[in-house]
Amino acid sequence: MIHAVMIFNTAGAVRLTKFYTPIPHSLRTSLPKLIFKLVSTRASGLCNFLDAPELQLNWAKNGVEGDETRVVYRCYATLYFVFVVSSEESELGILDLVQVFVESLDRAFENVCELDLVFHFDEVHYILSEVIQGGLVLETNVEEIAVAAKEASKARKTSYASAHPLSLGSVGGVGKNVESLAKNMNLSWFTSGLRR
Amino acid sequence: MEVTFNNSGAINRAHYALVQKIENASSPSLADDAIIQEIDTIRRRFAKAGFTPDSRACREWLLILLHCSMAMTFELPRSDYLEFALPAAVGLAGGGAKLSDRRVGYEFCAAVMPPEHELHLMLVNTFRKDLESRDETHICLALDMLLQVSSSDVVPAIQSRLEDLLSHKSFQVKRRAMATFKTLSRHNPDLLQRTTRKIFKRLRDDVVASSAFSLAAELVKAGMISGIEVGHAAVEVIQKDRSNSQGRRIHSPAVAAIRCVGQLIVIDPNSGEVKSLAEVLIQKCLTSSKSSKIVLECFRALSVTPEPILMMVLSPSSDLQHPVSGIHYMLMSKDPNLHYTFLACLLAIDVKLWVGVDEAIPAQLQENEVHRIMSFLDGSDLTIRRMTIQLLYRVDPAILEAWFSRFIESTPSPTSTTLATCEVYASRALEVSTVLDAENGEAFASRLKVVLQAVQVPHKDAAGKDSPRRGRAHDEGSGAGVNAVLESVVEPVLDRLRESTDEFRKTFVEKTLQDLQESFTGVAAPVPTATVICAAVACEYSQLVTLPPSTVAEGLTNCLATSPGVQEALLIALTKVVAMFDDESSPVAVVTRVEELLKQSRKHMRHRCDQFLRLVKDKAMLKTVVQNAKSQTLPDILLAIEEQFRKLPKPVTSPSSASSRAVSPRGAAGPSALRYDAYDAPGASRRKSQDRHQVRTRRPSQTPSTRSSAAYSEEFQRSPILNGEDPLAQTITPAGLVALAEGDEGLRNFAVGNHIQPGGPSIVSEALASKVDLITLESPFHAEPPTGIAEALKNDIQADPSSGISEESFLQSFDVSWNSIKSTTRGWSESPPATVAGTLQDAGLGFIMAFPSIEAGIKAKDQTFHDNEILGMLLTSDGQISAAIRLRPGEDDSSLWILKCDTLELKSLIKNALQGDG
Repeated sequence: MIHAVMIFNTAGAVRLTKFYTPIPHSLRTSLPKLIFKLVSTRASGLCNFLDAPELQLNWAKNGVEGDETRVVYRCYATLYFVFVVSSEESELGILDLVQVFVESLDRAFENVCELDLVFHFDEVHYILSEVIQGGLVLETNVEEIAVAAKEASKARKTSYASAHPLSLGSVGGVGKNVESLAKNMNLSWFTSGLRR
Repeated sequence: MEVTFNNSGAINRAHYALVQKIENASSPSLADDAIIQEIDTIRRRFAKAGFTPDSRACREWLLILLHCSMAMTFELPRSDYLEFALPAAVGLAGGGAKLSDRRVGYEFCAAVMPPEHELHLMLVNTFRKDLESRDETHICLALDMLLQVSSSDVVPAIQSRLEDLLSHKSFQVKRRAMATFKTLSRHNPDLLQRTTRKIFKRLRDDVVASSAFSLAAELVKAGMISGIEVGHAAVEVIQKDRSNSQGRRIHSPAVAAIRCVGQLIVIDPNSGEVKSLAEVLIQKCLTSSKSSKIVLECFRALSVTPEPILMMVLSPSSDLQHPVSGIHYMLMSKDPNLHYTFLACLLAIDVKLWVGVDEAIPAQLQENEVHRIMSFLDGSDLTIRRMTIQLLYRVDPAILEAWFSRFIESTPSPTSTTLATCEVYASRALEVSTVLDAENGEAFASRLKVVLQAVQVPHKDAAGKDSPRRGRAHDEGSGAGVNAVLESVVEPVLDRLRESTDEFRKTFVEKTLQDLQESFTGVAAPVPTATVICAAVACEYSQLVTLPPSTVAEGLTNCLATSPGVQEALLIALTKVVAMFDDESSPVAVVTRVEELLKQSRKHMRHRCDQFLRLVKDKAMLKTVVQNAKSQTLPDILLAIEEQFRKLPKPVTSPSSASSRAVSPRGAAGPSALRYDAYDAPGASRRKSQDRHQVRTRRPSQTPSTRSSAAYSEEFQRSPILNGEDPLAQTITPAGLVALAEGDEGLRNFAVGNHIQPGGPSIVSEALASKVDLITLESPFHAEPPTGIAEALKNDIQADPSSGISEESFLQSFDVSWNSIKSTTRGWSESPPATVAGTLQDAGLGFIMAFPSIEAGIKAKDQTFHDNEILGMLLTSDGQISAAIRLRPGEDDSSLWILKCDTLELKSLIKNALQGDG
């Protein structure tokens, strides 16, 4: 099971947190910090997995049930994508899932950048929900996720049009504003920004 | 963040402004303040809008609240802080005009609604309506949210429709429906019965097989379907799968099928099918050796297979190759993830199956491969190192023992290595010790001693004499680690003790304290890190051991000849240990030694020694301190000591404590302080004050729960107040770091609390407030004045008739003018009063100075003059007194000046003269 998905930048600012396991209120802010501490101190040439007893201890201390917990992470340019998973999940599968998630974001936002995650975190949540639901991996095919995201966008437009009959149908889609931003700011890091 | 609103994609101006505030905040606490402010604003908006806010506005507010909850650095004030918006979110989820609005409503509920919240009931009808929809998007939305915010209430309302959805034309719906069944079965296990008819069809549907295998394993576990039948379906999928590359098909049905096979074996390990399943797994492992995901999954499924079956399957008589033969390439690869996979595969199966201890199965690794594995112990990846240690321990603990011995022998001389190198060597050795002595506290204590003695030398041996190290800033050269406290050792050791069993803890503590006692009977004294560990365990666990407190106290006392940071930890531990003494016994030797230390130490340690001696004299107070401590750790005992002394009548104040007024909120100073204008601090005091302010205000700007103890240490050691006056600023000792790193919020909040919430007076500010009004208190100064010049001045005024004023009339005039002039200014000068007086006279302003004689018992009508005070008056041409000044001696040859002058320009001139002196 996937317990949590987190994204933070290299300075430790949290850009997304999604918990699939009910965890105490106090852990919601402390866990990303602890994980950032663990992940950010690792050099770039090391493996992408973290067998973190500290995390397990923290998890157990707060009464969260579950067996061994692992951290799978990947760094893309200025962002860390971190998945906290139980031992029954395949770390290698999750590592590929991180890639799928990032590629899906890139498709949706057209050259995704950190600002997209800041201002469109609801869309990021939506794309994540196409990949993972209730801590279970739902879809791993980037094409399928892109299609689902497009269909959802279309459905939103339809529902908007039905709710506002006089509208011209120009509802902002994913990445509408950010398209120009990414180009202007030259933050299209995805294609060239893979650290590993 | 330089992005315009139009380019940002923010949902509205408020969202944009909030993000700007958060991103541009100079500290996390300021960002949090902005967030809390925004939440409160939205709370008011919701309250104003009532129960039916506009759908668009509601969506935007909820999104901003979600953003706020995600961006908070610290905890929200309460766990239900955002629940005020739940009714609106439930309303939006059910009645939003647009699908995106409804999704936001659902998302908010998923993120904020607690599991058993009463509003779950309100969502039931919404779920049901969405599931009944013909629109696939609506169905998916409802299923997505059911997976996140499900409750037992929803099951009866949707179970029938959910069953139908297993046959929906959309695979997206089918996958979600199966996942929802699995999730809802936690609330109602009988619900799974509804899936038994359709599950086998889904198992053979490639597109949804992954979800189906996951559900099928639950059904077998619940005894609702046959494991054999599921096993056959799984084998079919595994054999059909042709992925033997690191392709992009991530969660192929094969991976789910292999996992399902593993679960089937766990459910019934004695089934006749297990052998054939194991063979399929091994076969798959060999044919898909390039797909590390499949290989690892196979090894993990094999790990639950009974050992006799595996021995049989892997014996040379079997036709199958050994699965390890397919993964050799991973070991020799340069990809660290493949190293991880290789080690994970070997860790998954019993060592007998590959190490060659059993004649039936030969060794699977060549010598060079074993060397390669051993080389991982020296690698920089902690994850890989930990796995390697585990693996080698399983193969033979003697391998690790031998490695440990060689490692200790190869440790460079402590006097020729840097602190960082010492830390690396010690922590690497400790990683191995943790596994080797996992169950034996005594052995762990012994090994720890060996490790520390290899990387450090006892304090006195390091330089041949006591040479207290002042801080990490200096700890960069060779030999720097000799006397430093290695935090990378202290923290893990204390963590380990807290997590371990009582027996482990007891044996560790007994051995550690015994060693401490014995180390002074001929063997070298303990090294600094060991001393801090001894102090910490003596403080926290000495009640667990059979050693009498007097023996423990003796051991700790013997260590006192060390650096101040360690001495402080020892004194705190001694406080706790002495509290355990019988009422009749008296720690004479300890008191004597601490009294000696008091004489030798600098100000901070003198303060600690003084506290200790006062506590020992008053046993009732000592016991109160220990009882009041939140826990028996060093930082909590220290906190209790400080708390106790804060309650006592305040000690005499000093100029330096007065200078701390600069960091005290004005409001906290009390009404008396308002009678006077703030006085200027002298140069040095001002600098100290500023530095202290920086240190204190910097902390909240960082993140307490994420900051490493090293960072605290650095701050502590760089702090200009290391030897200063404020005991609170000095609580972050190497020993204290341990608990700080452990998240001792109490101590951190204690140290920084005043600055996180500047609005409210804190303990610190109250304590300072009681010291600030120096003018109205009895003289706090007892230092001998530099009488030479003062006496001369006194003689001058008494003997010099040219001034035209006798001593008596001078004092009477002074008294009258002092009471009549309203405007008061004060400040500190670094020079003694006599020098300041000389400066004022030299300034050409025409000051007449006087040194009131004690013998005369001078008491004017309303004013009492203090001993050793110098008084000064400035007469106008018409004989009026335009200014009066009092110069009081302070510590360290400084002086406090209090000036009364109603003329602004004149006051400015005098101040300039005084500051020129400082």
